[in-house]
Amino acid sequence: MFSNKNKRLLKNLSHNLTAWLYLLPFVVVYAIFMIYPLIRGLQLSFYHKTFFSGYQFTGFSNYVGVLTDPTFIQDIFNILYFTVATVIIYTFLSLIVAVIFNRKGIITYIMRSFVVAPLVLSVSVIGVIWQLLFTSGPGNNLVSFILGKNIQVLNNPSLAMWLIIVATLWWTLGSNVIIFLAGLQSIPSEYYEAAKLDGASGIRTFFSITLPLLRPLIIVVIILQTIASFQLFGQPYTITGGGPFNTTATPLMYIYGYLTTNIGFASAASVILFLMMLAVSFIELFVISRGEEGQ
Amino acid sequence: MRKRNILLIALIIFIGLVWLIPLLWPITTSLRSVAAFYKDPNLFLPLDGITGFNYENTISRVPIGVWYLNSFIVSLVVTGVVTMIDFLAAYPLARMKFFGNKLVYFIIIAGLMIPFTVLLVPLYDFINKLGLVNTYWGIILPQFVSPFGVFLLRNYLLSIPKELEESARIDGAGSFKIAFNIIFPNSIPGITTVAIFTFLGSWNNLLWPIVATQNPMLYTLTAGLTSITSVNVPNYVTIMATSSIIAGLPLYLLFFIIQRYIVSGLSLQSGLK
Repeated sequence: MFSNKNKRLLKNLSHNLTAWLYLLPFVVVYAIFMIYPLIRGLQLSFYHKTFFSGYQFTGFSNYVGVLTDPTFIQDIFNILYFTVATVIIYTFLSLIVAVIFNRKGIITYIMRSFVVAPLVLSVSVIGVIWQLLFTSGPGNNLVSFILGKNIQVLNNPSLAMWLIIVATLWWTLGSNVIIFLAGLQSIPSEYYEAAKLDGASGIRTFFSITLPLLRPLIIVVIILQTIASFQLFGQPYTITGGGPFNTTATPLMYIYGYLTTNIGFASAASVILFLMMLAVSFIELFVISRGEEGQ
Repeated sequence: MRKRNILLIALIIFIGLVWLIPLLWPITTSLRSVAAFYKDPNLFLPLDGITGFNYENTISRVPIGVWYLNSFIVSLVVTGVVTMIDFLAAYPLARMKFFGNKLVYFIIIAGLMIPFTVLLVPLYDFINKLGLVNTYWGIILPQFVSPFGVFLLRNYLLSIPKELEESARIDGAGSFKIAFNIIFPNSIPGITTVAIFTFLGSWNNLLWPIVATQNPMLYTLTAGLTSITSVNVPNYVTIMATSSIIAGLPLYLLFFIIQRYIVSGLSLQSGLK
């Protein structure tokens, strides 16, 4: 006969087994399509694949090859330019838009929906619309009018990336706005009432109540934006094709380009891109938390 | 104070309309005749009359119906499987004490930080080796992994009161019965959010479908739309504008129905709730 202790052990065992049975499908999929590719990707980056002799170990030569390729270096500069611009502009703008839209009423609700709705569109739809606006639509006329000279944005090496930045702004600003709006609505209204009683101005209230309380969310938005920006692909793929003169090409487009022709090269490039994303995210976290101590 | 309010509302309407304008142009262009478009391509409203010609022309020249069908097949299979396996994983993580609970959850959360960029190359290599390039399964299988769904559902399941399942347990219900008769019906909003995000993510995925297949008849809508550029079609501009509207407008309108799930999903993503 089982003792009580053994019975409990047995019951525990079956309880554990049940839990793991529920987890099993996810764990299997996770292992095959997440963990295995992670390891395999790292491994591939040290190999050269040829049609006749298969995979050959080549050490760091893929990394050296990628890092000495002027095209890849330019892609890195392009993506840093895009990331810095989008992180600063989108964070700032979405915060302002959220503050403006932080009120009740049907008009505000409808207008807010217009700002958020493009989020559900695919990048291809975004790309087609913005490309047409600037090849066959009023886009160039508008920019020429604003800058006071005749301009073809898609042929202009210093403006093409800004078209990507504006198109992406139109597409994704809504997600940051939603995050900030949720944050604004979680601030207790007593804080604002107290500030009002003390006679604080709107701007003063914003800087001494709203901004400090939103700080954790601002960090989240900056990190999420950084990770998304580094993986820029669909917008230049559909709007500019990476041109003019490679000024809107990105590392992910580089990886895509080498995928079928030189898989080791593509792997090394994606490991480098991943490490850069990690490094930049950590630097951002470090800088922001340093700023926090300083206060 | 009143004057400031009116100014604020005016500003809100201005921002909303600015966001609407880029969409008005392709809608207008899709409704105008080709001749009228080339006479003045800059109209934002179809003031010179509307025609259905571009829609007939687009549907007859671009396999957009096939792409729609492919998108439905891929996205529905992905959504069904992801929602199911994520719920099954979230259930023990949220409601059972077992060996390895915390460790498994940590590993799943770590997966949230892995960008698809690092998986792209080895996944292509893998699919290629399995002979699944240019098949539906090649497009579908790698999309089954969604740590975000587990994260979101686990949080949702934690908020369901314990008493609900205790009374069922007293009645002699096993864990399977509790999971599907008690927990599942009580987590419909969370499951809907996961289903919507998974569906949209799969429907709008561009990079993976163009890597996993080179056969235009297997393209999803998102992949197919970018492939028209390389095809030499007459009336290219109006066809592209019309295609983007056929592809985009249904989703855009759907947004107004599913808005609250999008909002709650995004708030959860930021770790706010």
